[in-house]
Amino acid sequence: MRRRNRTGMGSRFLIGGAVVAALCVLSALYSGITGNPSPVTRVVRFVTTPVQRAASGIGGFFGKGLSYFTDFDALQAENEELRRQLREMEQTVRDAELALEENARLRQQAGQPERQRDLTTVEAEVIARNPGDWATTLTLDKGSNHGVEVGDLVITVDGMAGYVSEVAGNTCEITTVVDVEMQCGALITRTRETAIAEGDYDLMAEGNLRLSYLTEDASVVIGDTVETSGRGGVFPKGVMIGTVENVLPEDNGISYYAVLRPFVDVDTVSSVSIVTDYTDTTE
Amino acid sequence: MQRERLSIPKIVLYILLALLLYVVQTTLFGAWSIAGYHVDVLPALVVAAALLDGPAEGMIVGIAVGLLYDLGFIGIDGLYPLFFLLFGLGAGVFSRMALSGSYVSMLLTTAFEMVLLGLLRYFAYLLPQAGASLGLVLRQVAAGTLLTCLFSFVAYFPMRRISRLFADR
Repeated sequence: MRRRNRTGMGSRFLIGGAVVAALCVLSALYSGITGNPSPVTRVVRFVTTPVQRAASGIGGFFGKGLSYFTDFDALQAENEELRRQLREMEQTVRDAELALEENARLRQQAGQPERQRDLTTVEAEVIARNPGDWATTLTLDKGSNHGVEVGDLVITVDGMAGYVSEVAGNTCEITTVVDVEMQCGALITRTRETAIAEGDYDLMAEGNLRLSYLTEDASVVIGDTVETSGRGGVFPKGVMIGTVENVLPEDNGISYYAVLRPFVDVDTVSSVSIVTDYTDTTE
Repeated sequence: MQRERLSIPKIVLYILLALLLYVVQTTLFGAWSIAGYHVDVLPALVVAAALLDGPAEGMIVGIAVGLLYDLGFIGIDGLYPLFFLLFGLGAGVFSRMALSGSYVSMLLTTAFEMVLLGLLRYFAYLLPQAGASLGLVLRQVAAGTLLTCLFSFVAYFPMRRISRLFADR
């Protein structure tokens, strides 16, 4: 009879546990060095993704049905407000179109290349969110089979939602705009000053991010909007990130940082567009 | 209640339960929060398996839960399975010496697990990488632990049912 110790575990079991622990360490080394998910994670994702898709679809179906009854009054009021704003914007759009035509004509006269900005996007749905409160990542239902690559920008009509951090065949995971890993070149729309928009753990809990590396003489004020700068060619320029809620001094007392409220609510976003390619000759 | 032999069908049911809870947690209740904190009952599964069945089951469920955590987060894979494997093993060993498979024991062990995980996350990642403040992290650990313990019955009672089902055979 095999002898067991007081804890009730055989030696084979302990050896098996040690082997699995060693595999976990190897997996951590693999993903840490390569930056890719481990093969085991990929297999598990292959199993869980269809289930998440189905559950997300079912939840969305019932959620929409319920909101048909509960959100009707709020939607009606929002509709009326949006119609009013639309009427005000129509004149602004007409003025902007005239300005664009004049700009194109002047650029042609000056021998400058035509301004062109074109985004190639893939529509995606959010099928899962990370467990707990330690990060804000989203899983989308599009992957490399749809042309998605690591580093692709993810947007909504409101602005930047995040960027793709991991890609599988039919899904991808995105680092959201408020996650601590988030970092991108930013531009203050009004003053055209550049800075870095990055996540901050303390601000993430409030649903915000920070705008860092503001100089001492930066003229950013509360209410300013911030957009992607396009510097480095990683992300297209002009995608809205958020608005300035507060301007505070850094710990060093020399520079400042701003607290940004993102335009996209990552807690509730359900449909996004992944920018798989873009051309931008606006500079 | 803790048995010596490993029952494969029981383990399969435990893993399916973990998968079900993970999917429900990340999809249907992914955007749902209480006072800004999200419910996460997966750690309670590891404790339930360890206390109800012993270190082997605790370890296996721990690996499964850890793999699911790796799915949900972007970063280095393998560390969550290692943590939950070791905790499931340790909780199972300790339960054979000192604890029972009761709900109260499970709550206490789950609370300890959540606090330990939160502190490990803080010192290993949040402090050096993200410069997070300890006060905020402690608040999140406390709120997360409270919510997990409040909702741990969602994990415990199905696990106990499965454990008893195979104990009677």
